[in-house]
Amino acid sequence: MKQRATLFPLPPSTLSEMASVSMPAVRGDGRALVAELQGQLPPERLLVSPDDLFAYECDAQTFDRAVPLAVAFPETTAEVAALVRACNTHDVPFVPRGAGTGLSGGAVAVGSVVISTSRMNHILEIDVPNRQAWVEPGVVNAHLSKAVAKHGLHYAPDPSSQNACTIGGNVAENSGGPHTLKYGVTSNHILAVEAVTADGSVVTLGGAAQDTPGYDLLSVFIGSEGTFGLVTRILVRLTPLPEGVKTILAIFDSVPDACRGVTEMLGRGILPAAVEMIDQTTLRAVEAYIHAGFPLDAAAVLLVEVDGLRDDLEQQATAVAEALRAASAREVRLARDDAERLKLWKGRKQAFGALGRLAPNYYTHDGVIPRTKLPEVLAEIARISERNNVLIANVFHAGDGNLHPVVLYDEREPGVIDRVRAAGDAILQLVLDVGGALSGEHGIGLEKIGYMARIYSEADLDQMRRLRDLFNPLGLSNPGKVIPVPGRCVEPGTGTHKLPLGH
Amino acid sequence: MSSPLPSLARPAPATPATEEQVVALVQAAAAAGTPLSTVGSGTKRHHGPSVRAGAQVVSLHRMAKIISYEAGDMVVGVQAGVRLADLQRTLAARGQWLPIDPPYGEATIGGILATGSAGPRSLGYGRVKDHLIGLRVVGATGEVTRSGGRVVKNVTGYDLHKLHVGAFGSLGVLLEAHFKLQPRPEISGAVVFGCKDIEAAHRLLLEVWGSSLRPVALEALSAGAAANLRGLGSGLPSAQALAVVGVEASRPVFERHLRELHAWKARSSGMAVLRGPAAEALWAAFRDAPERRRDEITVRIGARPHDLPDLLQEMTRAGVDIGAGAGWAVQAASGIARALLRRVPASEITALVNDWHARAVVRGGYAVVESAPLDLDGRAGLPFTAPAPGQPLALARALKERWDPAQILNPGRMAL
Repeated sequence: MKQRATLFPLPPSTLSEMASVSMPAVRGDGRALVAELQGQLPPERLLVSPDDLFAYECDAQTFDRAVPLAVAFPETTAEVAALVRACNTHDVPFVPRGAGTGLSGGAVAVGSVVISTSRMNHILEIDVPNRQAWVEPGVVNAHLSKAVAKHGLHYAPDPSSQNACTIGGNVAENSGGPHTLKYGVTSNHILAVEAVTADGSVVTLGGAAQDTPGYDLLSVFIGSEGTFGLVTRILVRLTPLPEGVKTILAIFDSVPDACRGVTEMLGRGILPAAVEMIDQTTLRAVEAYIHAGFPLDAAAVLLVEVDGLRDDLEQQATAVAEALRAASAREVRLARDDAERLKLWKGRKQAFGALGRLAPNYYTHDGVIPRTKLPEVLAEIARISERNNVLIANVFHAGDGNLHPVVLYDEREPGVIDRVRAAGDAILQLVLDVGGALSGEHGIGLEKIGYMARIYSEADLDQMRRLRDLFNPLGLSNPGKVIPVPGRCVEPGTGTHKLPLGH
Repeated sequence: MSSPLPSLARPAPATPATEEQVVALVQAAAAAGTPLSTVGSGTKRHHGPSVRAGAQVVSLHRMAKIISYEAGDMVVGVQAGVRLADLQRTLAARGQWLPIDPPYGEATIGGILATGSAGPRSLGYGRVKDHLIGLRVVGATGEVTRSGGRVVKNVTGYDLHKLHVGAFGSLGVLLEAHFKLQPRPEISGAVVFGCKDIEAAHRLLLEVWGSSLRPVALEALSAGAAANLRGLGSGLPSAQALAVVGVEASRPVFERHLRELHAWKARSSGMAVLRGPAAEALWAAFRDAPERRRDEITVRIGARPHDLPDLLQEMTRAGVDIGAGAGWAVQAASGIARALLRRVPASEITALVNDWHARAVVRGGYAVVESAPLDLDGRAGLPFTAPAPGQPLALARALKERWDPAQILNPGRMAL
């Protein structure tokens, strides 16, 4: 039987009540572990003081928080393996962490040591002829693309946080981005990883050669959100930079028309490199913040990009424009030059930051729906917004059907948390009702773990546990994430959710 | 036509038509401890090791329904027994396709997934796992589980479905698969160069790969392998070896390729342009070639694309006797080569492939037997897999052990 439930637990009335419902059992001898680590790493590579640890209590999704026991900064695979073995010795969990830009609480370390990859940030080898590169996990996504641009190459997955997020974090989350519509998500661009599994062994999955014999363990390691272990070296596929790019801005007087623009393009067999939708609330926030050139009176815009060999870009752009006009676009503009193009994209990629200026708090969902359902789902989200009296902005990967409804609120307003939760729950149920998925790219982490039982049967989840337990038999690597404990946490919101603290 | 099976007294295969019947078969097998051998159309039974003797054959060819097809969403869900050719016909009516072109015209979706098989255009479009968005399978005790879904982007839970790709049915009986689709290209075509030998064809294609062009296939064929294409009658260059550049694109991009590919014409012994029906016939010839070579032994070699030509030269020298008269087919930009070897005793093949693997592995590559006639003496001892440095063989074995402790699901079929 499908159970309706609220997105988050009712606000805990006291801290002690919160602790009793939320925290996974703290295990092992944390004090002894920290003492051992102090012998392993120099002091500047091991944070232990509460003031320092406070910065590591959450990721970019600030609902879920816990202060870790310590934060370690290894520089080599051997150091990572030694850290993990020490955790095994003392039965203390560890949580891998890249840049902390995750949006599902996946990096929250409850009674755990954080293993930060930030000092493993070297590009080890760029193999231009074979279009491959070995990188360390702490390499920032955009830095890799910058480093290979002079060879006419780039690393295609482009999450909006690409100026901060790391390739290791991208592997853990199987991150997407606007251009994954054409180029695919992280898993389509990873050839091999060296990983330290939860028991401290070092393994290689995949290889420089395609179609390596044996089970494809690489494909399941990608997106396992740190619950199998952590990657220490990554072989990525590099993609030629497109010869030309055209960016089209279509302006709509209604959200349903903008949605129809998406289905109209797909229906005509047009598959652009990116199709992003930005609604009025977001447009206004962006314009106030960075003046990207978006119209303030539009109900929504579509930002559409076509790229590739220059020969047919004109033709592609014309076909896109025709489809969008057929969907009643008020105006279809082509970015005149790179400067204008980059400004539009800056507006899109910094939309979340801009929304952060509209309200002190915001909460982002990440469901994916069949693309033909966009008009009805967006209309229903507007009704959910009204019904719950919360402002919801929509800025998302429309071409993939990957929604990002952003619920904006001020936590100081009495009763607002309940309404945010109710709206969020209604949105997720709506996504599931139309045959969608909980998360397109942000991951399950802690945040959505309570929903897993709504879409997967206990048998499905058991199979996932059987796989995880191969890599992580003692549950030491990022415990309590992604897959709920059987018979527990089946109800949304029994994770470690706390009141948002206002960031 | 397939070779006769070695076993004479084989019980008739079970042919379930519903999910419930498949589940009942697996449950019965689990209760009796009888292993199952699952097949689709049975086109690739000579690929990889055989299932342990005494297994009950289960043919899924009657599980052949297209479950859901929403052209507007560009996704499709099919039962495992659907033949790819039938699916493509349905999709073509709406201007779409599942962009894979694996060998064997009769191949089913389940068989293609289980073997992870791929064709020449995987360069341009990716492999079958790149298009798979969800899967329903029956596990070793008869429980039906699901992963992924029906949307094109999804990180909800682990991608268990990808684990079944290339697993030869050893982790579950595939019931239902969901894929994302693409619009069919405006023009499908190819430019075929004649070359003096396979190495020249291979190196030419690597140059094309490094150019600004965006081919969807780069296939080098030795004279022996090119024989498969000779029946096309479309004016292919009459050379020792062929270099095939597949191009699928809009008209302006296609024309651009034709213009720029002329740069290589002077260094070849002829150039032919195929498009429309001629190109379709070319892709069909690639698809059907392995069917005609069932009596040969195929060795798959993988390496970084630019390491492969030298490696193949070295291998050819090492195996010159055994390879005489055989063919080479090379997917240049994927770094995959297939040696098509005449039937010789298994011990000779094993010695050769072990030697080749030792040469490949120092360059991060591998060499394994991909297929061999079912009636080849000593077939079971062939090196269908090979250890690579750092690969967690123990994990792979533990996975099979954990998911199928009673060894019900195609035991022995997955080389580990």
